[in-house]
Amino acid sequence: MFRRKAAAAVALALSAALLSSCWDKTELNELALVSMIGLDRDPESGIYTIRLQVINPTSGSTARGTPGGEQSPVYTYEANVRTLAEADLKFYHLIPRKLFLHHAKAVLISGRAARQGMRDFINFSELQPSARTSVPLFVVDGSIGEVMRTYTPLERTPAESLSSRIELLADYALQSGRDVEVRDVIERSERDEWIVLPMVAVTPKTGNLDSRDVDASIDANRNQLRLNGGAVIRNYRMVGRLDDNELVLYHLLNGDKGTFVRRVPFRNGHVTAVLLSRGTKRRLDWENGRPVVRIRLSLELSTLAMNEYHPRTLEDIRALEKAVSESITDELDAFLDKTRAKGWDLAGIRSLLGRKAPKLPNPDRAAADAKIRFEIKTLFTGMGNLSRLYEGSGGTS
Amino acid sequence: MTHMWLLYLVLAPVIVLQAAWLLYAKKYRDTAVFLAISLSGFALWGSVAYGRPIILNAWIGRIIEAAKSLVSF
Amino acid sequence: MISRGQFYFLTVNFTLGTTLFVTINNMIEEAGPDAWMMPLWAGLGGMLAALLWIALLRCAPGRSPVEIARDAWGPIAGLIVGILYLLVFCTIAAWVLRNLSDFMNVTIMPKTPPTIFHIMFLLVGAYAVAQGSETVGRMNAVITPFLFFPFWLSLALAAEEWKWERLEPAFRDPWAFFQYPSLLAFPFLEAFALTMFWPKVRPGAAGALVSGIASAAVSLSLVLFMVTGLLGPERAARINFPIYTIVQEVSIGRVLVIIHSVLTVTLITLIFVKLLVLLYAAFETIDRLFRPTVRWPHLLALAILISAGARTVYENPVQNRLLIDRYLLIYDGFYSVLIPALLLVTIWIRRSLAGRARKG
Repeated sequence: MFRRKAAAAVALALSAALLSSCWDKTELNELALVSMIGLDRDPESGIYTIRLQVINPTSGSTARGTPGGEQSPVYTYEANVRTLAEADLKFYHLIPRKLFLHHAKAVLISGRAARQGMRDFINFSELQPSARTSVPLFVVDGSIGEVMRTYTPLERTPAESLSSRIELLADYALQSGRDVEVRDVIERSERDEWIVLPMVAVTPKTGNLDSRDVDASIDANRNQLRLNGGAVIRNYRMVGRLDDNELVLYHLLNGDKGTFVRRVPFRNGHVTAVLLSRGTKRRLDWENGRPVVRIRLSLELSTLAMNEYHPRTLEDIRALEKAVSESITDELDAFLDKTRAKGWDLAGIRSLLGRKAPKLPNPDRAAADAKIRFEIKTLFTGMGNLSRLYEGSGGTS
Repeated sequence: MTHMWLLYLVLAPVIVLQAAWLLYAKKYRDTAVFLAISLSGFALWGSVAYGRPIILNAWIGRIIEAAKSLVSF
Repeated sequence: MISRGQFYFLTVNFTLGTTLFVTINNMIEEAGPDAWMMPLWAGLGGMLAALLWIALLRCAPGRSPVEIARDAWGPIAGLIVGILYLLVFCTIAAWVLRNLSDFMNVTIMPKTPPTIFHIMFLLVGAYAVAQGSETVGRMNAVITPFLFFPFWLSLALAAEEWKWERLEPAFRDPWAFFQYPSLLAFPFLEAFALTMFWPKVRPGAAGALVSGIASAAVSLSLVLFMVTGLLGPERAARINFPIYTIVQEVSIGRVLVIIHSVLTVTLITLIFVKLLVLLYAAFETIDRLFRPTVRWPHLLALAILISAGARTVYENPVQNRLLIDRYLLIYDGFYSVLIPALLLVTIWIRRSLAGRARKG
């Protein structure tokens, strides 16, 4: 009898081990949700400055607008450290909650750090099992400290505002693409390919810099962030920049799909074409031992924004399609001439050679020598809500 | 051009499986009719996927022009 | 069996179908303020064509044009005519779908891929067709009031903008239709697809078909009249979807500003009816030609063919319109007037020969 009781007691005691629960449990209200990360390094002193923008969990629709309840939706913390690993520890001098980086929507790197090389940041980030590299990476034009302390209207956090803007720019302006994330930088750099990242800058400020003046002012062009051109990156290092117009051509060349608008010379004037890029195909040929790359691009043309002209006959349509193809070809040729003269291989010729002709003795030379031909196929597919334009004389063209 | 995989991974198996089922059920006439219609649809889809669509409208125009020139002689 | 009333509504909705989308601005461009007279002339032509079809169908009660062709011209020529009709119905169905996706892409859903519209409509249409002609007829009769009242109500709400002077000078060009006869082909000759329903309609449906076409012509004329009076011939001739624009510009008080979604639903339902009739006609053609033992595999094949056709039926709206102006009357006239007329002549000759043989 006693033995039985003892056995039952032991069994019960042992089963207590099952009650250990989870060591790694974290409650949501014990976390500091990081929404944006800012990276900087002073090239002279070698000191890293890491900034984290943490979401304020209590701010929301109720906190804003109520008297006395005005709270910032995000808080920016800053740590100056000698090695990146110190940053974590330094932040706990300031942050009462456990850092949670998974939620980050944007990573910013200062222009000077990008010019110097961002490999160390990326190595450190990839070493951390908790790091996520599917986050867009922006290069800051100007002071990163100021960017990290700037609010954006409409969106609650600046990171959301930035990531949403690059998606819109990709869909409607082709000034951004899908390949602007940290992982893309790693992949392209490791393959010795080129990548262009969006650049962000602060717009002119008025009023008190650190207050939410942006909410109080109607002028949304001031006191906020602006995407501005692209940073050309090779080997984890920024080597130059593209303006907004060149960004379109770069993304077109890169096979990104999206809508964009071009002014095209046509019949002694210009027309505005809304174009939808359907992607590219590359083919490698050889002519007298010299590589020839054919880039085939298909575009869909819409007259949705063409307030200058409306095609009426099949000949008009063909002429319009031809004018668009030729104009885009010219623009791409000029763009490639300019960038190749700087030694930039934005069309990815070297990697194409590396894939299609891996036994080439000197691929860099061959890539520089390669001839690039564009075969652009434009197809008129859609139009707006007018089947004929109004013809009164009160226009400019 | 970009959706070639849809053609071969979705449309082709649907047609083949349906035809196989009809054959298995010993409905030979149905199989022939099904294949005739669906394969012509497949060919049209193919023309779209390979970026050279067969524009039906233009073909109708061409046939009528040909018939006109036949009649006028 | 579907009743004569259901057949009448089917005829009206089929004829109005895509017409309300596609040709309104073309007609106003051709005829200016007198555009409302064009559908009346075209409807008259359509009624004459319908009388021809009725004469043909009465020769062989219970049989569809496909079978009549086989009886009159033998199995091989009959098969060729049958396949031709199958292709015609598929092409028009593809056309209808493409018009629909063009409308949706231009007006309210620019990012949705057109093929999604095509496949979804075909899916629902195939389900209804698989249930048989009664379902098609009954469904259409049930939804008709839900199309009729919202449509005329939303146009009536716009009547505030009405100006009589937009319709002036009146009666300047009443014969404009004869310079633009493709309106007869589309939509009135396309109503030939309805003859595939004929064997399933209760006897004596001739009046339903003819009056259906007449009602559609009058409705179309009324729509054109209202569009001209509400938008003015200058804007209406240029805007691609004038009815949509009219309703878009209506606001009821300060709150109800977006009522054009109601109109959109009405219009796409009308288009759906047209697709349904064409899909039924195509399926019925297969049924009469090959006597299949299964339904769904053939509907699947038709869906594959029509969804592909909807992508390739025309390149762009401009090309579509040019080719419609040039060829549509010949195209539609060939299968809906020439072939039925030849069939009728063959049957009459055969009958008179047979009658003479009996006498002799």
